[in-house]
Amino acid sequence: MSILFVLVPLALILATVAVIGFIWAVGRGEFEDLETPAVRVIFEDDGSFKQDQR
Amino acid sequence: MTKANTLKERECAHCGEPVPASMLESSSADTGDGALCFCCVGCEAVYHALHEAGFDDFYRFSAIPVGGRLQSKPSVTTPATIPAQILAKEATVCEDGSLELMLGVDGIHCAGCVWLIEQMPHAVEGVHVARLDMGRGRLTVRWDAAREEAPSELLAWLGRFGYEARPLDGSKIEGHDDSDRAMLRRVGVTWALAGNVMLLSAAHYSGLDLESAPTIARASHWLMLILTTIALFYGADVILRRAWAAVAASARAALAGLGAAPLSVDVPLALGMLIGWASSAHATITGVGDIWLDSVAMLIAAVLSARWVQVRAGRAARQRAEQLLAILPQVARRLSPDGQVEEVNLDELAPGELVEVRAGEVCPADGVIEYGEAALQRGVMTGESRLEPASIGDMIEAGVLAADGSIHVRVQAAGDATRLGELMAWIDERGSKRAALIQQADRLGGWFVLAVLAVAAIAGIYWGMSDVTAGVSIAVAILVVSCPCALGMATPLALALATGRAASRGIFIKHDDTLEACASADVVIFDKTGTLTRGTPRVSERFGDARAMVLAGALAARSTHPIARAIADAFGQNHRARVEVLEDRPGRGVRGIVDGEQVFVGRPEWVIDALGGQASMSVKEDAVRHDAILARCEDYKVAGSTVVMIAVEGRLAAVLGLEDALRPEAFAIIEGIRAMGVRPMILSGDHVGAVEAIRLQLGLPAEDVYAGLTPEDKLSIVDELCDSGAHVVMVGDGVNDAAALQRAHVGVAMSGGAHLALAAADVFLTGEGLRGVASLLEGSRDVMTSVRRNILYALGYNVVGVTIAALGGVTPLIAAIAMPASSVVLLIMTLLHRTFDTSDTSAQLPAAPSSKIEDHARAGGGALL
Repeated sequence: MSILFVLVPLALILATVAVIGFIWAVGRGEFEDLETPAVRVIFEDDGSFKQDQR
Repeated sequence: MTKANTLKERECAHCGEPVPASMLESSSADTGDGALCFCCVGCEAVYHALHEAGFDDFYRFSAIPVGGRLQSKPSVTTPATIPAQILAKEATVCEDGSLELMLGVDGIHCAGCVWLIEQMPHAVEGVHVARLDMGRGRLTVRWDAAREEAPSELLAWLGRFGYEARPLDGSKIEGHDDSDRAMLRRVGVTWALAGNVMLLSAAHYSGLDLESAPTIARASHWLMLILTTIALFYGADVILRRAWAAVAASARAALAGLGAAPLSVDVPLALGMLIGWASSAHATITGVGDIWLDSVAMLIAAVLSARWVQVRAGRAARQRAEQLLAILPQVARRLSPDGQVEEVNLDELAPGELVEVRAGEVCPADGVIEYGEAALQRGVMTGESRLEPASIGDMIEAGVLAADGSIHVRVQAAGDATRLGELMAWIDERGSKRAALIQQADRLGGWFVLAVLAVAAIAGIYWGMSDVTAGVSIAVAILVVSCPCALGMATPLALALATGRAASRGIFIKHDDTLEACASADVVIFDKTGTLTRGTPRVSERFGDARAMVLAGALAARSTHPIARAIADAFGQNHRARVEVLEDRPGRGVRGIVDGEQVFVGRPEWVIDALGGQASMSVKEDAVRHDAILARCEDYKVAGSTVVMIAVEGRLAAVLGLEDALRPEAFAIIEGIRAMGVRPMILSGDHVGAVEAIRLQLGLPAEDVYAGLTPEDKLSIVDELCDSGAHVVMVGDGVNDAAALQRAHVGVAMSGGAHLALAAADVFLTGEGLRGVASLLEGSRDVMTSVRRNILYALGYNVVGVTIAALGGVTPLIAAIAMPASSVVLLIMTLLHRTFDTSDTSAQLPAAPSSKIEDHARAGGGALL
């Protein structure tokens, strides 16, 4: 059972890392636009227009 | 009729709307590419603009619609350039020296739009990056600061495709963004904390206790306490503050002898959290008593999530509305008496001063033109996109665009004193009011606190008489388990979600109250012109020589008269034709030379008069055709159409009948509205005959249809209806309706109309036309069902929960499951209630004989040659 004294803090540290990651992502505005990225995947990879497409 | 059937299949090559017969005929006739047809000239222009620029790929992506349909008419009032002062204030300088600016873009509908707009760096020189946020209509552009003309070029480029763009007030947006982010951070962190607390408490529920493993159990209790304390004072900080403010306000009111002010829902919420936390802290320190920390942590997380969903959904709609209404420029160019020009902020402008408005700029104030002349676009005021010439002595209002020519304006009213400013102030005032429905919920919450406190006290004393510890623990259990959040959250959450969903369907609701008012509507009033009809005359019937019609179209394209425009629209602008206008007489017609042939287009009397002796009747077939055309001309007149005659080289060649056609979906929608138990009415300023035709087509009783009304008449009829106790929804599009729109319980404005009407309305519709009205009525009823169900559910939960707790049946485990579950169930219930569903509402409308209308509309178009 005393292994819990290691495992629980470890779990908390992992959770803290995740929370820090989340806060960083929020700060970068990652959750602001949830629609456009879903649409952007259907464009060409380089985002450019190719004349000889068809 | 076989022709009519094939017509039915055709869809606009640009927006996918069905193509009216008149357009179909013209586009396949003279552009040669028979496979393509368009619903309107706007779509055709955008299609060719895309094609010429090599952006055909647009159509590969635009099949994935996001909002409503594409706007069929690109009516663009984009400013010609971004003033230097705004650039200095709003643009940020990047590391590589380029400038970055955020623009609000309107008219984005599909993946194709995103793709097209993000192609900007390939099309506009100097632009490095263009990134679009589709949901909020924001475009971030970055360009080479050395290329000063880049901003105006990119605005013009967007305008070519029908996107309206204007710089956004960065400070305001950042403020919104920051508070949104802070809220999201709270939600995320609180969920992480609550999750860990749940994990630890799971060990306790599955057997870990102070007897079997005292060290681990105590350590775990302390850890839970620490985590929950963070959740309470960081996550629920807002709730605690608001609850405190409400209590303080209520206490002040009570002390001042005004009676108890209603407590907000935050108070019982904060009370439950604090008591649960405090008694658990006590239990942790002393080692005696129940631990409620997991319940408290989960409650905080659930409440914050619900608030976040609510704020996010509601803001999207409001921001779009603000963007649409952000018409005024932020700076004005003031002329000092000695002729110096200086750029000043709008609020520094005072009456009596002189401002310069250059070509392509929006006038910043109400005033009189003192110098120069310009073509004005008064779309903001009147909804009319045509240009009207103005010169010295003419009035100009704030918000009017000077399309060409530079003018000096003597300011009469500036800022909030302008007509536009007054309306904007009125909107702000409405927006800041809390919805009556939410206030009711708040009052309910206030009573709820009192009831719960009373029950807790009675049960605590009752149980405490035999055992004090048990009494305290029962009282705590009642306070913790009673969950006002379901009660307080239910109404605003449902309203905010509905507002957000409606916005994504192109229905912009400015205030929460509006939904309630819509749900109880008894009468829907339509203004015939532009609302039930297409608003512009269209060529509905034609007879004669098709080639003559094309020549007439080319000639009419040179005139600005609405009827000439309709003819030009119907027969395509044949740009290859050499056109020379000899005479353009308003109210009569146009005479000109097209490809070397003399062409007359105009009123029958004028054309026949003009032909006079010229008309050569020598050839027999000419005489036959002449008579046939005159006969048709009479037929069209009897049917109530406006008749236009075409003559080529001195011979009558063709006759056209124009009418303002009913929108094809109008019949089905009116039927749907009646099926909901709402009485549709028409108040029109139009001529009796035209309105009567519409009335018969729609099958409305005569007493519900009025014709020939002035704006004052409309207002007094709306007044009368409101006074008689009916709940009135008024749908209009013109500035004439602004007063009636305001007077009605709910004013609905159609986009494409005057901005002023948009401002006066409670709801405005973009793109979806009449269908939006039906969706609005239906959706609002759905929302009210959802609200009532939520409140019922919340009350039910609390009655059951508090009763069980009072009987001593609630343990920390039950509370830990029941409490967050009650909030989450509510959240899910509200989210799943699909108000303003994105699927087509016409599917839910009763099957109406819409084909009747289409047949009618087609009868004209099909009766060709």
